[in-house]
Amino acid sequence: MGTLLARRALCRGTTRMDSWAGQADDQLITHALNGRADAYGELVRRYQALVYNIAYRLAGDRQEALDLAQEAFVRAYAALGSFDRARPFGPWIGRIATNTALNWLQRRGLATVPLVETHSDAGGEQYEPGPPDYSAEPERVYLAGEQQAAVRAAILALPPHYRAVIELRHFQDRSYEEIAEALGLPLSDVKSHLFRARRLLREWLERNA
Amino acid sequence: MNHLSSNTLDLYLDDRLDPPARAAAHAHLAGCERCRAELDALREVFLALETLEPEPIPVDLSARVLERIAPVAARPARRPYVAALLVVQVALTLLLALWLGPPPIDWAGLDRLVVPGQAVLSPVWLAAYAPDFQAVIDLVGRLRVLPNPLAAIAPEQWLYLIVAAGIIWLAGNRLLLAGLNRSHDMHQEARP
Repeated sequence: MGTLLARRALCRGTTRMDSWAGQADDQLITHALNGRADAYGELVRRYQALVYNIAYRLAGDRQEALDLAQEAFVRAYAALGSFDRARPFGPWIGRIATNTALNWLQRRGLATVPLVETHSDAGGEQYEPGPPDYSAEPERVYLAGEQQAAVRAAILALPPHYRAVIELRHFQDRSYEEIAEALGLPLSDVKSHLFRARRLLREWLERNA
Repeated sequence: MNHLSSNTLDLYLDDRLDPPARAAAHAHLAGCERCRAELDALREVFLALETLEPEPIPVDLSARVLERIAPVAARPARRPYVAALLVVQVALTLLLALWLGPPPIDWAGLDRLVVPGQAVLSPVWLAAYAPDFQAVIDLVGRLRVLPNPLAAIAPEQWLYLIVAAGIIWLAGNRLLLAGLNRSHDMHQEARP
């Protein structure tokens, strides 16, 4: 009986979601705050891809990214009353998703700099060894989709703290100072993390090209 | 020839060099093929990141999220004007109570009040504070001469009307008698 009621409620919810499709984000938020939770469901559908990708790039695991994305939307709902509806919803939910994923990384102790062996390049600058060498795999033909997959794989192969700075700089366009504040790092660390992360990405992409 | 360090090229591409350093790097790049090649290779990394398409999400999260927020969504939303309306209602009620005036006080008979510790209400105490009370009574008496805009409705009836409207409004906004005032929504019905 409970399953039947839940299924009926979900179907009714789907019909209601279709009617929300033409409404602007701020209208959906107003309806959600007035008790129409299904209006918030439409907001979830609009921004779940964005939130999922932020979580995936940071967490490096698809299932974990889904859980984190869900958690981000639940937290956003709890804070919806404090959201300024004159501002766009996307960046706001993006920040919540980022903080949720970073908190997850910190709880697992993955957001700190790991102890790794370092090497020097010809210029005497030190960097960590790159991710595994996939060049021994069977011949790879790079189409646009595979190039995208290669870049995605390169990002996921980075250590978590490097993924975090790459995410905040290149995907959320945050300044070095904002990254330092978000991650609780000195500005000098942000610069060196970005430098090393980009070097690792370059080496990985060249090795697997 | 000294070449630009990888770190400098990185900051140059990310627009993080101060103007003099940027100008110096720009001038060097104009004449150094090796550094330009290094810069182009780094630019490819930036471009690869900036053109990365988002990955499609494998499931629709909306149903799961709605299920989790259902207990929160079922609670009535607090409206910001509730407090203001409550203050207005209380103020109107108090004004009307003043307008009606207090019941007449039998000053001479106060000493006959039956209260524990009757000695506290001694005639001396009453004589000391009675003038202040009398001033309040005189003020209220002056208020009672204000014209009643709707003469058909007595002041006492206005008071009852405002109190009754307040109770109905509070109940309608689930601030009173909330246990008897449930609304039906899909999240409540979805619970087993």
